[in-house]
Amino acid sequence: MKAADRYDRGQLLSLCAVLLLSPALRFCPTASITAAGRAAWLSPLAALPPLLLYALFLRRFLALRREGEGLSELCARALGEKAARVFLLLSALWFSFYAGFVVRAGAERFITTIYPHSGPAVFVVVLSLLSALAALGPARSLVRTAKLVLPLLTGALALILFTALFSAKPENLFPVTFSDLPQLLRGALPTLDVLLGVTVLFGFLCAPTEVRRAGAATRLVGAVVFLSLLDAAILGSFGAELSARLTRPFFSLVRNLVFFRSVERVEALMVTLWVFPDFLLAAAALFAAQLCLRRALGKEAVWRGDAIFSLRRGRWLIPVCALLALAAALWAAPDEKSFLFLSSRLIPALNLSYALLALPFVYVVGKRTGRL
Amino acid sequence: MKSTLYKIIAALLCLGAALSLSGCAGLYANVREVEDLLVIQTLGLDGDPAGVRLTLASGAGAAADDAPLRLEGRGPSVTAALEQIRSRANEEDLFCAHISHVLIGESAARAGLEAALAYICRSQELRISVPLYVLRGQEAGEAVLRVGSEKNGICDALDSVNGDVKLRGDGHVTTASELAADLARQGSGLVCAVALQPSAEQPSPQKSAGEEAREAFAAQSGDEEPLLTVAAAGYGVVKDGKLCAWIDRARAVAVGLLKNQSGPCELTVTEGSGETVTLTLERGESALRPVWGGDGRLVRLDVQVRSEATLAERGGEEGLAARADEEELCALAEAALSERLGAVLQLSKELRADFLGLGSRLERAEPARFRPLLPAFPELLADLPIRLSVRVTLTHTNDVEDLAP
Repeated sequence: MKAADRYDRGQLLSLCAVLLLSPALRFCPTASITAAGRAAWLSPLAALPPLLLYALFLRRFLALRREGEGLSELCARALGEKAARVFLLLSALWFSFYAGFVVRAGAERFITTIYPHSGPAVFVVVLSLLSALAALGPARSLVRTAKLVLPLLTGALALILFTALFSAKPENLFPVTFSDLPQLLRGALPTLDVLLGVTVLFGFLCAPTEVRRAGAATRLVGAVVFLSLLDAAILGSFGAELSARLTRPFFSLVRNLVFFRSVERVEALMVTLWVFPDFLLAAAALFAAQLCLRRALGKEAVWRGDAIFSLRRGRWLIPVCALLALAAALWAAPDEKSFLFLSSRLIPALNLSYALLALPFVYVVGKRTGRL
Repeated sequence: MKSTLYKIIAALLCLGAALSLSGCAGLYANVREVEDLLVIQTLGLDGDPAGVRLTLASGAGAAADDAPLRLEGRGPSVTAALEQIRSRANEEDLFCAHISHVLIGESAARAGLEAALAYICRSQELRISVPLYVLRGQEAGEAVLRVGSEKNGICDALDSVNGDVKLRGDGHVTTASELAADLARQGSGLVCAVALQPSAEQPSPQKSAGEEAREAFAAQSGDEEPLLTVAAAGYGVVKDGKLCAWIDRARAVAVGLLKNQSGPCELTVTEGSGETVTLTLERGESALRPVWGGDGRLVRLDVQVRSEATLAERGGEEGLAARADEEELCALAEAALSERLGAVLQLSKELRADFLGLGSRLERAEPARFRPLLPAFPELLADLPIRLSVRVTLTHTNDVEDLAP
């Protein structure tokens, strides 16, 4: 037997950092700016207290795991066999649908930035195939891929943020007063959505690792500061009114930047780099989906050195999840209007509901029935 | 063995997928060879009975004989006109991703700039930060097609305007995103104005055979034309998306001071003795002080402008020895600046357009008090008394007498 699917908590948090980048650039700036206007760059900071509370809840929940249990097994134990089956089936559907949406969002980014005359199908199929292959392997492959691409992505982001913040106009960022507080809190919702989504995936992926206190809170603070700087760079460059009208203000910003008076038009490179977060997020969601589905159907979901194309021990359910994701990607958003509805309404609503209602509900039921 | 084979297959699939996504392969790529591209650097937009008249110019050195290439097309939209140019051009593939100037004719700007701004913001080729210029009194096509010579063109001329304006305080090149943001925020904004002018360049005494032949032809046909260029000509005021007024270059210094974007520029005054003195306004700034009434209404706006100047040029034999002389010069400069500042503020009031961004500045100073007034500020400004005070300090006289031992 091959070595167990082991990776440490720091590596898993690196994966989460990469996963964050995909929804952060798709949804966060525009949604926050629409809600909070000029104060949007402070909105991520307003999301920090509820995020820390949620992280505390998830830590307590995960601390109840027994040897060899992941979050899916924990949910099954908390709900009892029949209810758990329904819950995990719904979870698998949600994660598959989310994986499909992530793939579709990646395709949409390609179309609107560098392939204007293309349809989404080819990007969707290729990215789905890559994600399915990744989900067929152990989770440590995802984690290690994230470790490899994280420096590249953070380096590129740091350069862009530095250049953009350096030329930001203060009048686009100030003044922010107490009267902005209600809008500022509304603007925190997109940040909450993005980070809660990643936190839930962290919960499902951290099965074989130990839960320790250090690290996650600091990383959450780092993520919030990063999102704040991202919003400040965009707002400082375009102002709130224009930023809210742009579909992808971050890539408009990248298109504008000229580095050292010689390097410009690097948006195609950035869009291509953003394939990695899309791929890893779709693969992580598929991974969580297959964990839930296998557990719902009574199969063992732990990786035991299986060959990548092996379909034994319920592994045939992984391609099933991938096909569900592909179907969602191809047919859930056939045009831009329906994609925008998914992106700005349905997916955030489902994501927040799963994180803030479904998982706490499972926890409460488990505690009340004494199963946890 | 079987597992290794699967790994190799997976790696090949990943590689193929990655290549197809990166745009570097032929599977789904829009790859174009660099040497086949004609890099367009200036785009001119005018109105036309067909909808849009589009003119394009490459930089010098793009064509084989080093001459900038000029192209013209018409259509119901910018995209259609561009397509017409693409289909009718004999040259290589047009590449518009490096367009560095967008020039709009006066009539098109008066009809409305919003369509042009929307095109730029939506375009996947143009940068949203592309500099915008409005050509005063002419069609943009005239400048794009006629400016320059065999060695340079409109792009070089606009590069020169851009560089010139950046170094001075009597102009500012507004980008499409800046104008769009100003229009969205305050309903009005400024755009850099340029005017078609005879070039200062003189034809080279050593002419090429082609140039001589052209001149001979022009002399025979009697329509010899001087070399043309474009020069900075102040600002165009845009309100509700339409060009509605001009601020000439002499008064543009006031815009720089009122927006706190000042830089060096010349100010010529005439002394009582009839002597002309040229001062260089090195730097300056303005401060706004709203005056509130007892009932909480804004009753007046005090604008205080301070500027530092140096003596650049002065006729006559006497130097600037006497203190009284210096004070007189400062007073003259203050009067000249006051006239310019007053004219620009009056234009803002008359147009009911806060193109100077005074409302935003006041909001930054007193956000809680001023924010409710901001949406109606342009209307409020029209009837708001403004008290202007200007102070000019002479920092260096550069007097030749100072150099005497």
